[in-house]
Amino acid sequence: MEKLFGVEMNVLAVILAGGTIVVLLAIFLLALRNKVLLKLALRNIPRRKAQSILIVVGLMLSTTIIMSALAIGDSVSSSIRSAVLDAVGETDVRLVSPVGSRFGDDYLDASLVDRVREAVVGDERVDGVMPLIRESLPVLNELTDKTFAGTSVVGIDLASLAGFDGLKSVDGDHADLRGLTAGKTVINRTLAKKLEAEIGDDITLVAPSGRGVYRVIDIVEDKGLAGGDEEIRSAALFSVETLQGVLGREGQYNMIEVSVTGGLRVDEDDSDDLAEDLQLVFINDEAANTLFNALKSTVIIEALQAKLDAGGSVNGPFASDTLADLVVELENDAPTDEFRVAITNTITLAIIGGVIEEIGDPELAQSLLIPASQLVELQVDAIKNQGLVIAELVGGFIVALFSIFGSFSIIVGLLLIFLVFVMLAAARTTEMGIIRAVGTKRRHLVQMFAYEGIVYSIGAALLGTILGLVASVALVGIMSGLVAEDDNFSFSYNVTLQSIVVAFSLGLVLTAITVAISSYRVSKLNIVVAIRGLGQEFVQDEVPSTGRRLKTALRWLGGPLTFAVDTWREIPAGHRRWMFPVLFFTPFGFLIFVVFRIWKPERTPKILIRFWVLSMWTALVIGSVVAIVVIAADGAEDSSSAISLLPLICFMIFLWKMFKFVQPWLASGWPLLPIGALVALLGFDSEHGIQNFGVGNAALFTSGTTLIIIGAGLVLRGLLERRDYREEYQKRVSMTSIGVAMLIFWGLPFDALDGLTGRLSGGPEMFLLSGVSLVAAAVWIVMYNADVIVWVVSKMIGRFGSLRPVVKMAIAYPMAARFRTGLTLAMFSLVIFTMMIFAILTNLGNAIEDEPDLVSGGFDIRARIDAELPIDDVDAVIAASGGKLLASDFDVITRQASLRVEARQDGAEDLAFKGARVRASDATWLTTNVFELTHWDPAYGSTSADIWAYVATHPSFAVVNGGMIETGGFGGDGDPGSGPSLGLKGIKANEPGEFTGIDITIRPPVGQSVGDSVNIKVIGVLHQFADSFEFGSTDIYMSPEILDEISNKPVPFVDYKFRLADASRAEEITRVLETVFIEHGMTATAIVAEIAENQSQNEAFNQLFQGFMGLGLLVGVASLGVVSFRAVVERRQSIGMMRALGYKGRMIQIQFLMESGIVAVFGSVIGIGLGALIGWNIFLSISAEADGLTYSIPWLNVTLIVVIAVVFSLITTFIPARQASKIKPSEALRY
Amino acid sequence: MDTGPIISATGVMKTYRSRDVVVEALNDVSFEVQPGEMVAVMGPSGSGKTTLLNCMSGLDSIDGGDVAIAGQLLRTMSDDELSDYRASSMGFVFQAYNLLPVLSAQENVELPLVLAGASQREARERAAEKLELVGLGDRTDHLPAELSGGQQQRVAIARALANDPAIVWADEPTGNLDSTNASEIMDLLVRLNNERGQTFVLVTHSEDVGGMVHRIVRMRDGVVVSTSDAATARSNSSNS
Repeated sequence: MEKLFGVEMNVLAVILAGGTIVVLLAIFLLALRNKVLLKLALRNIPRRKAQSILIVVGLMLSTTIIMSALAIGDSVSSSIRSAVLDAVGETDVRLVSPVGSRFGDDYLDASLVDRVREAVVGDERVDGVMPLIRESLPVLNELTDKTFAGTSVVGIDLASLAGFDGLKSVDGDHADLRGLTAGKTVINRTLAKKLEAEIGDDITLVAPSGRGVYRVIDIVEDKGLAGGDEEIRSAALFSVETLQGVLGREGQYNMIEVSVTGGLRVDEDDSDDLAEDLQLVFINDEAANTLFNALKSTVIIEALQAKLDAGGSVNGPFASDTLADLVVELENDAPTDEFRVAITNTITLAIIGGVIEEIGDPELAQSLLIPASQLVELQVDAIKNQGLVIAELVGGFIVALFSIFGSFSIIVGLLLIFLVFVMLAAARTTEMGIIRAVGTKRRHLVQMFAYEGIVYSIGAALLGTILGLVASVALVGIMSGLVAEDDNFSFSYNVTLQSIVVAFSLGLVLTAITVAISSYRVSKLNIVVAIRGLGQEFVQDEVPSTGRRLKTALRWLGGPLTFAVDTWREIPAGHRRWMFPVLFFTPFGFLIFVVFRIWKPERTPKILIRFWVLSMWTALVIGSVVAIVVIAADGAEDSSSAISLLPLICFMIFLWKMFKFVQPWLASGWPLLPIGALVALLGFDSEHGIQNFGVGNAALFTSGTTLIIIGAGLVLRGLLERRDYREEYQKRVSMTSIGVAMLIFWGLPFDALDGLTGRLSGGPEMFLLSGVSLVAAAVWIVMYNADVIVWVVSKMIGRFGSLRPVVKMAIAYPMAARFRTGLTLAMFSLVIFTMMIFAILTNLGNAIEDEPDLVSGGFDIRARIDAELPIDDVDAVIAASGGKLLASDFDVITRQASLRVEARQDGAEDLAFKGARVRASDATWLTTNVFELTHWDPAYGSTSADIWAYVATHPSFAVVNGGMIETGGFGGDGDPGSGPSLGLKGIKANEPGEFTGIDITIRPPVGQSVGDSVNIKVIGVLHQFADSFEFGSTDIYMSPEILDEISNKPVPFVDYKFRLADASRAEEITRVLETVFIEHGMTATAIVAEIAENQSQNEAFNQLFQGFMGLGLLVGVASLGVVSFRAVVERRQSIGMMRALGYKGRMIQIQFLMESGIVAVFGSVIGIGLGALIGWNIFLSISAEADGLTYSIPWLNVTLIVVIAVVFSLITTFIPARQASKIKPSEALRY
Repeated sequence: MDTGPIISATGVMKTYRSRDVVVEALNDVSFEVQPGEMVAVMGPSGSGKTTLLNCMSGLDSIDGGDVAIAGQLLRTMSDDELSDYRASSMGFVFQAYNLLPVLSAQENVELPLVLAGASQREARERAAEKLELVGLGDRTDHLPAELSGGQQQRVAIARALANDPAIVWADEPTGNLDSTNASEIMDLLVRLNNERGQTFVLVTHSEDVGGMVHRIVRMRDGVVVSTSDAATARSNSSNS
C-alpha cells in the first residue's frame, strides 16, 4: 500500500518513526539525568512478573490490531497489483478507437500503427510498440471434449515483439513466440488446465467465419500478452495475420499497445507523460479549436467555476481535476496542450454540456457534440497506471474497514493503559507520598511512571507487531482459502516495511501518549492524602484567578506574533544576535540545545532558550503568513496544506487557553449550554437552524447536543445543592438524568431528528461516537445507581445462605473503587457492544436466501454469449442439439441487449448527461420476469406485473434499477448521481410506493456518434436486490425498439435468461447449454447456486471479521485479569483478616471470581442491550434503502460471544483468585 | 459441662526458614488456659508471642507438639473445619485493627454474623448491640478511614465479640494507641471478660496491660520462661 487515509505511507512511516525516536531519545536523556528515578521505576517490572506480562499483553493489542489491518491491506493491494501486472504485462499505454464497437467500427488501419511508431521513434521512454487484435472467442479441445467460451484470443504482430518478449513457458524457459506461424497457437496455463490440453494437441477456435484448428506449440504462464484480463485469465496467442483472417479484418488491428522502457514496473510519471504526448498526436486540432472558441466565454467559465466550487456533482476521481485544469486553460488566448488533453476526458465534456444547458443555451451544448465526436482519432490510456490506482484504492478501503471496526478495540486497549496506571498508582500511593515528602518534585513522579510505562510500551509494541504479523498471516491464509475457487484471482500474503514501521511506531506512540497522560494524572496526588492512605484518588488543580486566565487566553489571541515580539525584546542588547540563527538553524546547534534543555536545564544558556522559543515562533509566524497568502492565492491547496498546519496549531493553543479560562466554571454546567448549542447548530444543515451557518454534519450536531445534556445535568446538580439535598442524592439524580438523556438521544433512529436538523452527513466516525457515548451513558447510570443493583443482586443470590458473606465482599470491593470498576465495565461493554452489532449486521442480509426470486426474477439460469457470435434462432440451436437439450426443458427463454449510453433527468438541477446502460429486453423478458418494483407510477398500473406489461408494449416507457434513486442512510450522504453515473431525483428509497413518472433523455455517449437522443418516461423502480449479479446500478429496462434510434448499428442480444421446467436441473443444464451454444461462446450460470455460493462466501468473510474483532475481546478479558491480579496484592491483609474471621479459602476464591463475573455479566448485558438498539437503528436505516431485510438477533452467535467472554474472564481471574485463596492468614496479617 | 482447660498446648514447635537461617520461633512450648481466664502473653520483640497466638488459634500450622481447643486437636482439623471453627468460636483483635476498609463499622461487625448464617435483620441488630457495647453506637455508618485509631480498635473488638465466641485472641490490641485510648480499650476488655466470662488471650509488651489480667505468660526466644500467678496479676490491677 502506498497511502493510508490519504497520507503517503512513506511520509507516515518517516514521521512516526521520527516521533518514536524523539520519544525514546527524550526518555533516554531524562533517564541519564536521574538514574535513581529510573532504577526506582524499573525495579517494579521484574518484581511482579505475572502482572508485568499481563500488562504487556493488554497493551500490545492495539498494535496487533493496527499491524494486522495494515498487513491485510498490503496483501490485498499487492495481490490486486500483481493481478494487474500479470494482465497487462509489459504494456503500459494502450491506444484504441474512441468509437465503441456498438456505435461504429472500432478496428484500426495499419496507417495508424505507423503514425504511432513515428510518434515514438527515438523516444527513449519507449521500448516497444505492438499492434494487435484482442477478442473474446470460444475455444475447445475436441480430444478431451472441454470447452472454454470467452477465451481471450490475442493476435500479435511477430515483427513487433521487441519490448513484449518476456513470456515464460510453464517449464521456466523463455517462450519463443516466433514460431507462431499459421495453424499454430500458444496457450496459457489457465486455458491449458481448462481444456486439459498439452503441447502438441490441436485446439479449435470458434469464430464468426467458422471453426479452425490450431496446434499448441507452447504453454506459457498467465502473464503479459498471455495474461488474459482481470476477469478471465484464459488466453490463447496467435499470429495477428491468423486472427485477421479468421475475423475478416485483413490489415487491421483493434488496439496498439506501447511498452515503456524498464520492464514490468516502470516509472509511473513516464507512462502518464507518454500517454499525454501520444494523446496530443491523435487530437484533431480543428475540433479542439472549435471547442476552445465555443467555451471561451466569461459566462461559461464562470458557470464552470461555480460548478467546481459547489463540488458536489463533479466528484469522481478523474473528472474534477481535469475540469479544474480546463477552467485554468480557458484563460489563455489559444488552446494549449493542457487544454487539449483535458478536453478529451468524456466525463468532463458531459459536465460541460450540462453546465451550458443550465445557463440556458441548449443549442450551443448540442453543437459541441459534433466537434466532440471528432476530437480524438485514438483514445490513449495509461492502463497499467489506472489498474495500479485501483489496486491502491481497494487496499486502502480494506484497511479503512478493518480500522473502523478495530478502532473500538484500540480504544479499549488505550483505556486499559489508563486503568493499569490508576491501579499502579493506587498501589503505590504511600510509596509515592513518601517520595514526594522527601522532596522530589511532581514531574519526577511523572517520569517514574513514564519510564515504567515506556518499557511496557516498547515491549508491547514489539510483541504487538509480531503478533499482528502472525494474526495477519492467519487471516490472509483464511481469506485466500475463501477466494481459492476463483481461478482468476489469487490472494497472497504481502507486507511492506513501511507498514511494519507504521504499526510499530503508531502502537508505541499511542501507548506512550496514553502513558504520559496517565502518569501526569496519577502524579497529582496530595502528599498527606497519599501517606495516610485516605480514599481520595486525585486532587484538584490550583486554579489561577479569572483575570489571569483571561489575560493568558487573550494573549494567545494575539497569536504567535505578540509572543515573538515579547521574546525578542527580552534578549539583552549587545549580545551577538546574529550568532543564534546560525546556531539554531544548523541541525547540530539544535541538537546541542535539545540535549542541554533536557539534560542540564539549569545550565542551558538563558539566551539559548529565548532564542529557541523566538525562532520557533518566528517560523510559526512566517509559516502562517505564507499559508494565508497561499490559501488566498487559491488553487494550490495541496501544497499549502502542510504549511497551514502551523496557524492551525496556534489556533488550537488559543482554543485550549480559552478552555482553561472557562474550565473552572465548567463543573457548574452552564458554560456547556451555549457551547453545546453553538456546536449543535453548526451541525445543522444550512437550510435548517441558522441560515448559512450549519455545515450539516452529524458528528457536530450530536456532540453539541451531548454537551447540552451534560451541561443541563450539571446545572441540575447545582440547583439540588442549593436546596441542601444530600451530596449522594444530588449526584445520583443529576448523573442518572444525564445518562438517561444520553441513552435516549443516542438511541434514537439515525434520521429521527432529520425533520429538525435537515439531512446530516456522517461517516463511520458516527458509529464510533455513538458506541462510545452510549456505553459511557449506560456505565454512568449503572455506577451511580450501583446500590440499587447491589440490593437486587444480593437479594437474589442472598437466598443461598452460605454465599451471602461472599456476595457481600464481592460487591463491596468493586463499589469502593468506582472509577476502576466503571472503567473496566466500560471496556467490557464496548467489546461486547461491537461484537453484538457485527453479529446483528451479518445476520441482516439473509433475506436474499429466503427469497431468491428477488434477485433472480424467477429465472433459473443466466447466460451471456459472445457479441461477435450472435444467435439467430435459439429454438433452432436447441432442436439441433441432438437431444442434449429439449425444447420442453425450458419454460421461458428471454433475450436482452445492453448498450452504454448517456442519460439525464429532464428538468433536474443538474442537466449534465451521465453514464447509464440500456437493458433492451424482449417482450418475453418484460412480461415473464417476477422482479418486484418498489416504486411505480399508478397511472400505468397498480402491480409490478401491470407496469412490466405496459413497458413491454410502450417503447418509450422504462423501469430503472433501484440503485439509481435517492437513498438516505448510515455512513453516506446517499445521493446517487453525484458521480459520473445517472441518478434520479425525487424518488426516495425510504418512501416506497407510488410516484409520478419521471422524464429522462437518453443519447449516445459523447464522442461516439451524433445519433438522436430519445425521451422516455420512467414509471417503475426495481427492488434493490433485483438482477444484482449483473452489476447494473444504472440500468434502464425497456423494450428493444428504442435502440435503433440511439445506435446507428444493430445491437445484438447477448444476455439470455432461462426458466426451466424443472428448476432442480439448473446446474446440469447450465453445463449442457455451454456445450450446445459453444458456437456462440455462451457462458451460463445457475442463479440460485450462485446466490448460495455468494452467501456462504459472505458468511465466511463475516466470521473472519468477527474473529478479527475478537482480538478486542482479549483486551477486555485481559483487563479483568489485571484488575484481579492487582486486587490480590492490594488486599493481602484484608484477605488475612477475612480468613481469621472464618472465611474459607474457597470462599475467597469464589469472591474474586464473582467480582470479575459481575463486571463481565453487567458488561455483557449493557453491550447486548446497546448493540441490539444500535443494530436496530442501523437496520432501520439500511432497510430504508433496501427492503426485504429482516432484523433478528442471532442468539446462538451472541450466546457464544458472551459465554466465551465470561468464561475467558473467569479463567484469567482464576489464577489470581487461587493465589488469594492460598494466602496464609498468619503471614498476611504480619506487619 | 467440660471443666478441662479450654486451650491446651503441649510441646509446640514452630520453625521459620528464610534462606539459610532457621529460626526456632516456638521451642517446646506448653501451657493451658482455663475457660473464662484472661491471659497475657508477654515478652520482648521477637520472642515468639505472636507466633504462639497464631499457632494456638489455628491461623498458622505447627511443626511439632499439639494444640487442643476445648479438647479438640487442631492438627486433626482441615483448613475448612478450622475456618468454621474460627467463625463460630473465636474472635480476633489485631494491633493494626485490620478492619475491612470497604465496609462501614456496622458492616464490619455484621460480617462474622453473616458468615455464621445469621439473617440480615439478626445480624444488623446484634452488630448494633455490640457497637453499643463498645461505646460506638453513633458511628455505625462510618468507614474505617473516617474513624480514629481508638474508635477503629473498638470496632475491631465489637467484631471479635459479634458471635459471642468462646475465645478472643488479641494481638497487641493497644499497640497503636495512646495511653488514654489504650487504657480505655483495656478496661473494656476486662469488663467484657468479667461480665461475659469469655476467655481472652492477649499478646502485649505493655506492663500496664499485663497488670490487668488473671495470669501472665512470659516468653523469651521461643520458650515460656515463667507463668505468674493469676491472682497476683489481677489483684495488682485492682490495686492500681
